[in-house]
Amino acid sequence: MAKRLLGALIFGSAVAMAALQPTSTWAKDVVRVRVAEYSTKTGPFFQGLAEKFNAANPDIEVKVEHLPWPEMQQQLVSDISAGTAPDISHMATRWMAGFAKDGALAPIESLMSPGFADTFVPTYLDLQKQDGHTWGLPIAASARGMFYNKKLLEKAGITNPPKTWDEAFEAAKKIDALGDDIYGMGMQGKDLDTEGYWFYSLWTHGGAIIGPDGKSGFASPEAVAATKNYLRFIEAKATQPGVTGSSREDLQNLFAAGKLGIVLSGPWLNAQMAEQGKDIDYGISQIPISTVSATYGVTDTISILETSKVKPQAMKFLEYIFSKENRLEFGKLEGFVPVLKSESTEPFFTDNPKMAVFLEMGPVAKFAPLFPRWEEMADGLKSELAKIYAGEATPEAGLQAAAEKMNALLAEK
Amino acid sequence: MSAIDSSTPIRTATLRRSGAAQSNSLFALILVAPCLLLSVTVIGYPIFDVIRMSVFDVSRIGIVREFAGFGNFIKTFSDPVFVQACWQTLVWTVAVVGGTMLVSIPIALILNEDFYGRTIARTIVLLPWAISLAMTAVVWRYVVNGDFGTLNMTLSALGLPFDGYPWLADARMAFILEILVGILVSVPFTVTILLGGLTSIPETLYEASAIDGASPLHSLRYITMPLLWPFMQIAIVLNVIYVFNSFPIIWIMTNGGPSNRTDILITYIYKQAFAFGKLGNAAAGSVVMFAMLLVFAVIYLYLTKARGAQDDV
Amino acid sequence: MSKARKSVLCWVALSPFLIIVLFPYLTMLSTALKQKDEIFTFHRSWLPREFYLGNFVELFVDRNFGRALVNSLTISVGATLLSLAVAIPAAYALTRMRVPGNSALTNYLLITQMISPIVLIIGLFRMFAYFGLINSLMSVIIAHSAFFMAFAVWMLRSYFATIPKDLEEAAWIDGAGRFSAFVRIFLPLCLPGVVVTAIFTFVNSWNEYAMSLTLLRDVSQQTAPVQIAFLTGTLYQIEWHLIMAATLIASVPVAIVFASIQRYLIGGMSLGGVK
Repeated sequence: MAKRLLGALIFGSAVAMAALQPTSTWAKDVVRVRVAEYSTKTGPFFQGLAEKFNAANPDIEVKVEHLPWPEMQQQLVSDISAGTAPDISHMATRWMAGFAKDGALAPIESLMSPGFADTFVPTYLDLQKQDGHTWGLPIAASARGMFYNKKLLEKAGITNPPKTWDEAFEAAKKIDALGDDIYGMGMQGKDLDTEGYWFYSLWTHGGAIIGPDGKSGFASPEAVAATKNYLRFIEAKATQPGVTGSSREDLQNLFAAGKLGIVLSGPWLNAQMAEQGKDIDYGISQIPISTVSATYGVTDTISILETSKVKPQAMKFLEYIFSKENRLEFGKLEGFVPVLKSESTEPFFTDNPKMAVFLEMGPVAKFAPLFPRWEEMADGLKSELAKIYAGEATPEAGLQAAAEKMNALLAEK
Repeated sequence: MSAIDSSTPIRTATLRRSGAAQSNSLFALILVAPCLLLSVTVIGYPIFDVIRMSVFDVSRIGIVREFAGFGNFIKTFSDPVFVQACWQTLVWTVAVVGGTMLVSIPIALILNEDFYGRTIARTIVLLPWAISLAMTAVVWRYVVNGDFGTLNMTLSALGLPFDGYPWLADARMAFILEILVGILVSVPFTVTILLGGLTSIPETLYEASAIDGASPLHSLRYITMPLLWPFMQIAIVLNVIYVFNSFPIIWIMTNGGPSNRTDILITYIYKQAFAFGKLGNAAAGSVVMFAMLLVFAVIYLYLTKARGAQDDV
Repeated sequence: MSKARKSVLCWVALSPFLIIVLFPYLTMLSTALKQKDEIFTFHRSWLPREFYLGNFVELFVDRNFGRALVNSLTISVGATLLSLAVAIPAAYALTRMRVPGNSALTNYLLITQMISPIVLIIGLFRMFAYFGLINSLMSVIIAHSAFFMAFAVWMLRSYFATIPKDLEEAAWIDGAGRFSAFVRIFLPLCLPGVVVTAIFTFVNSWNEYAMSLTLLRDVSQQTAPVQIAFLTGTLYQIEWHLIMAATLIASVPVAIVFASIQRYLIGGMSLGGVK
């Protein structure tokens, strides 16, 4: 009797499995698209695009999946390794190099319609190229600028937003002196983009990630000067307390609450301010400089995967995403800078004081390198920066360690 | 562990029926089979997969390339961060499990007393169990936020100088906080096990010792603690396994930082695999982690077996 | 000592821990009742501006959190039933019969408990992908059962060992088959243990994150913990007001179960705890 029960159980679960298994017979070409969420609006936006696209293309069915950023890499690696990858995937451009090198991505230059590549701002499209192939399209691009709280600057007796690091330092000290709950300059020391926050200082001091000898520029004299620049803010207590515990999001929240005088951030902060910092009167200007003007340009990539069996259909959807009107809508929604030439002249970007700075800074934007092992190099740097900011290592020693780690990884190839 | 075992009637019963045992063993196997089948297929294959990846060169997208021998292990052991993470894992496990026991024993003793509102108190003690670890960590990350968190808000309202204090900025403080959260989430399970043990101690033992004039403290030392010891053992073993493997608290609160000083093995391995694309190294690290727990388990089994043998004599 | 005085003492002694336990709950409640622009303000406060329930409405209407709760419930109930279905016969055989390789099997089960699903996630995913079970609630039910079953076997085994065999044997002598003796005599006797084991499995499955995240890709199939994590995962801001509301709601069913099975739980553990 027990056997019969057991048999019934096994049979039952087999039936249940079969019933729950998704059916995979489709008359249409199904294109699976995975996007990562910038905000909770990202998923619905692409879902909407897919619906319109599907209505106009009866032979293709685009299915959109959306995921939060922190899970993207894990999911993509699992998927590719198991052969269940989507046809199109969104990713950070800095991961692209690694995936391309290991053969996970499809080169798209021969899939694109003639003239399509020319609609892009060349800087951003060039970032998607490596070893003579184009591995994706720049789905998002941002430059960074200096956000300042007008009221706090005014209270501190500063009339113009600081243009140089020295001016910024003086301003930060004065703002910080306004009260216990008010901090001068935001300084990031934790999680995503900590290294990016340091690049602002590195580049404006004339430094570079890769030196002229092709080796790490992390320990160059310019890099040391750039680090000392930040250290003086920390030592003068002109930053928020606990730099090594502050993520990008923490700084943004402080700024939105009106507790922070100056923060370096990207255009997406506008979207947050509109919701959470309605009462804060703020302005945006260029990143303070020491010797040269620079900003950090970041793009994210959308690629077609090598395993896709519907590459032309996938490309068709990508071209649809990158139509002028769809891009403009996306830019307005998430607050990114234009990647299409036609978009760049739109009044939304040119006449909007909250966006114009990011466009102005476009020509001086610098980018992180496309090394397959970049994530590790950046992590080594981040770890040393935390030590330096906490006062546990000197800038020279810490940066030397980060540079050695990077050089070792460069040599490993 | 046989101290409280009520197995004596079972043993005699088993002896009586040993003749039928032979015919039983096939049937017994059939009863065990589904359990074994489920476990071997679902857990067995992934274990094989990890072991395989640990001795091969693996691309970031999981393609197994040439045989690498112990290459991945050598690379893993020569990474100073890995060694650092090993030590931190030890500190983390010992601190959380030790702290959990220290907190749980008195709580279990109190909850075993008969007092007004005991059911409510028991339910509250179990509450941390009702939220997944990841969510507990997310909530605590918010609670300890320097400027907006409720912890500083409360402390400064009490007149303490914690306004804007950045709890997670200092590696040592961050690790201590993570350990405290780790203890908090381990207490419900542990208290449940210990309470189970306490309710199984016969009341008559205490009555007898009270007649002998023993103080309550004396009974605690000579009756409660020895009889509770097997339960404490179980709690320790299971907690060591869970805490050693516990990922979300550290991942969400500090991501292993600042400067890798709150990284434990599992967060280290996760970064290797999914941020750096070094699946081979991650697999080697996983095998090392597994080996460590295995050593722990062998020591534990050896110790309990030795005790068990003594008890039987 | 009077009971009243003892009660006061007990509550006082417990209070530090109880406060720490309740603190995050109060934080959740306070934040869940706030509006988005109240979370990060210059002057913070425990009390929300008004008693605002909009977050809960947004959660259920716009974010479809109800669907996630139903998925979680389906998976947890499914995993509990499946693991009991395989664990009860196994535990019965291990305590009542001579199983060849008994100790090897027990050791194997202990070993499976030692590996975190996180380090196995790629292999696990590859395997379910091979069987075409990605994006099916069944895959998570199977995975959860496999991982939580060992604990269930271990608990049930120690529980079964405490039930005198004579009762069953008496039934055999009366002419009842082994199976009917099992169902009629044995199971009712160990029902508390089975219930406790079921609850452990249920709670573990309800709270599990890594496997559900990896095996279920479709938004409509997400479980509650995964959906809550998705609220934290957008790149530029975390929606604390929704996260706190969602966490609060997700913990309520489990808390109610704990409160209602209180005596059962402790009693069950007492028998189940020792080998």
